[in-house]
Amino acid sequence: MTQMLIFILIMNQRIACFIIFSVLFTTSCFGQEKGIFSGGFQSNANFFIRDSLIGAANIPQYDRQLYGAEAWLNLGYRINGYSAGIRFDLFNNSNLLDPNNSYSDQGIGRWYISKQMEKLGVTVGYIYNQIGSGSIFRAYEQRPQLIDNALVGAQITYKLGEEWQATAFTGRQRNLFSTFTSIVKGAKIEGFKSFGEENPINIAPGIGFVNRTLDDVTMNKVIGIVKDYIVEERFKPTYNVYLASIYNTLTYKNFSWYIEGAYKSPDVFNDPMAELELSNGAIRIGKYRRAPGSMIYTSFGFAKNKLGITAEAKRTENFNFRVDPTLTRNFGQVNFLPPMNRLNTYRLTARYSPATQDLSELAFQLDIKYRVKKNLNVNINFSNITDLSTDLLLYRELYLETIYKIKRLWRITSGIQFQTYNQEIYEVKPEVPLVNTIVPYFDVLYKIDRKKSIRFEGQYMLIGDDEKAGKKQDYGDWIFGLLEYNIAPHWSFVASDMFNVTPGKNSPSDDSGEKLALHYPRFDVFYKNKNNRYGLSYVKQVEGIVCTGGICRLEPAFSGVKFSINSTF
Amino acid sequence: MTRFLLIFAIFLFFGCTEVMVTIPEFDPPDTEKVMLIEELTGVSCPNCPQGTLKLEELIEKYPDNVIGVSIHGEFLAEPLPQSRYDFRSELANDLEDYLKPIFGKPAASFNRVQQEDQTEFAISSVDLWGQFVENELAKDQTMGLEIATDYNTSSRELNIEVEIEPLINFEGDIRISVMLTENHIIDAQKDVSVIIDDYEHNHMLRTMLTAFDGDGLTNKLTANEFFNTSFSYTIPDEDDGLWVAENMEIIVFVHEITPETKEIYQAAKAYIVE
Repeated sequence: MTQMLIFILIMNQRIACFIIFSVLFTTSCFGQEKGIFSGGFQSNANFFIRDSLIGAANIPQYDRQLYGAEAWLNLGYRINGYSAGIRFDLFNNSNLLDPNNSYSDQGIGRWYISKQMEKLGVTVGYIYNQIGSGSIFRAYEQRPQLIDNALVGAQITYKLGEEWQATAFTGRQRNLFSTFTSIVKGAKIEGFKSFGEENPINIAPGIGFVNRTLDDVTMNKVIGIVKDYIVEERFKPTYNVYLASIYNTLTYKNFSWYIEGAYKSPDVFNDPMAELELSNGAIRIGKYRRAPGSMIYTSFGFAKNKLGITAEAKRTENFNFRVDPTLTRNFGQVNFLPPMNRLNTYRLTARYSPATQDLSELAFQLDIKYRVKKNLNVNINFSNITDLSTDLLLYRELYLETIYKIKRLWRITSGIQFQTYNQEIYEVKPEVPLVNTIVPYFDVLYKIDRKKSIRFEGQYMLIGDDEKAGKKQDYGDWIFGLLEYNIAPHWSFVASDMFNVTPGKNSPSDDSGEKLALHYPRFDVFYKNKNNRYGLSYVKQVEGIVCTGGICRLEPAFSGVKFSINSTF
Repeated sequence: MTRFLLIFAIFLFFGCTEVMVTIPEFDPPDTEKVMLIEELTGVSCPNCPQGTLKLEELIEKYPDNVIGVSIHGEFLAEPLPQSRYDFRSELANDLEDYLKPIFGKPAASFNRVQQEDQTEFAISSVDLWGQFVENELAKDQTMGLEIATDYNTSSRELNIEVEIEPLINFEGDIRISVMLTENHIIDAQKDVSVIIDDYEHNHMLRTMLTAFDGDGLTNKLTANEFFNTSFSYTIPDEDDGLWVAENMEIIVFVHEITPETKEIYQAAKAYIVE
């Protein structure tokens, strides 16, 4: 009952009441089964401290608001094949939606009701799902960048046998506390087939379709754009676009092979690099085009004894798919294209990360893991990304890492990363050469006793020269050090500093124009008690690309104090 | 299973053909309404020249109906190493803040009207600008606005006479704004992947003879009753290639401020030296 009261206090909306009554009804009708209640709470509070020297300035939070916060409360209940959930979202002067602006709103961010009836499953509300790797449809949530493109609609699933299931859905994509106006519908059939123990081949095939129908308002926007073009640049848009993908995972003994091919019928999209002739004869860069698209992705894996190999390749052409073609940045994206570089976690190895190029990309990645000895592991990773049509190099990375353990007391990780990064494309920075970096690093963990441990990270980024500017590329060379002291199971203390040891072309300058070698310190205290985790951090962070789950964006510098809470129950 | 797949495919692709939409031809507006496009730009903004090209196209496409001003507020307007000038000003910053939210630059506002279905106030999707101009020019003209100028080339004193002819009744916080802009300023500008040292900046906001959000004009305007006002200003005489009176324009516009709107009703433009 206390949990129900929480519902009522927080969700003063009809839909919350509806869900509550639904749950109460089912609880009373099926009182013989014990329901499962679950939930989670997450909150961030940022206190902004203006530091114009590093660029943490000129947005409302630094200039006058000084504070921003976000909070999410999830509540869910399951009983007798029913499940229902609701989520309250809150944003106060938040910089998550747009790192350069402030966003405030609150309300019901998600609700759903679901029922499984033998073979048939029904869900209405805010639905998360994906087809294959997500190349034609992926509805998901990514809080660090405030991506939540749940489909607000209905979904049915039907079991076609022990191993096969069909799914169909229809709805409109969530747009913060409202929805976009286009309709998205789709279906998929996925299954699994084993060819027996004597012939150890398994397949997990799937096929999916998606259709998006523009609403009249969006179509009028598109027509307005096309009407503004000269006759030679015009095209005829259509309300509907159709996408199909077919995919399969084949496993045979130690081998696995995933392949997915996707096609998109001719659709309108913005091509930021295409030339557009204006009515006065001038040429402008960037225009809307209508063209079909395709994507092929394959991943081959082998694992036996000490060796593990993964090889991936992806070819992407005109595969931008949004609920409204005029939307930009991460808004209204219906699909998700998997990233093709190593997911780096160390501060300097992750500084330059390539965002997926959905219009033209050819990418390969090879990852080899080998256990040399029981206490020594080696990892080699190579990735190469080029523009499909021009062969322009976008990104290349060679990553070597060893992990060495001494008894149970020491774990020593060391490695080196070689990177080439096309900053001109990924960050739209003019007249910059390809950024070349070499990053050696080490990470030493020492277990003092059963509860206490200490960890030390050291990283150095050596960057190439920008000969035209007569300086080091971008921000120049960096050195990074981190010291972490853990007292299990509650406390963790972290102190780190990222020092711009040799400032580069884009490093901050003093009044005389002299580039400054600045420190970017960070101090964290984390406390964990059962399912609750609290964090308090003082952060000075340089501008850079931040990627979460393969979605990247350029984030401005940050200066201030952060407080966070994460709870599950 | 095969049967199910077949039904599934037929279901999905049923009705894949649709009637193609038709794109209407350009039809010049039959109105004396004059609107203002305020372009938020900056010399360090790689995509801003694309916005400027669009602004020029719209001014040329609607020569009697569209006036443009380029505002170099703080964001992405830091001078480049090749820059001769720093175009940023407190006034431009105030206007930039006034026209937020924006997602980035270039961005433009159209008669300071919150466009339907847009979360930005000044719109950064350049391709949409043409439609917003059409939307504004499709509205009824509610006001006439005439300006007469008198410029003394030796004293550099400028006098501006403004005559407002309301076509309907207005009541509220009616304001007037007067901007001075300058064309043909040659200085560095980022342009996608290069820096153009001798980029020609046009319609650049140089100053305002009113507050950034306008001066109070009156609380009431009666239909067909003329309202007159005047402004004076001495053009700075500087030896740095700026404030060239022959390259300067005067933009006057009448607007209203309420909690719901800051819409511009009518704008007018004149050259300091005709």
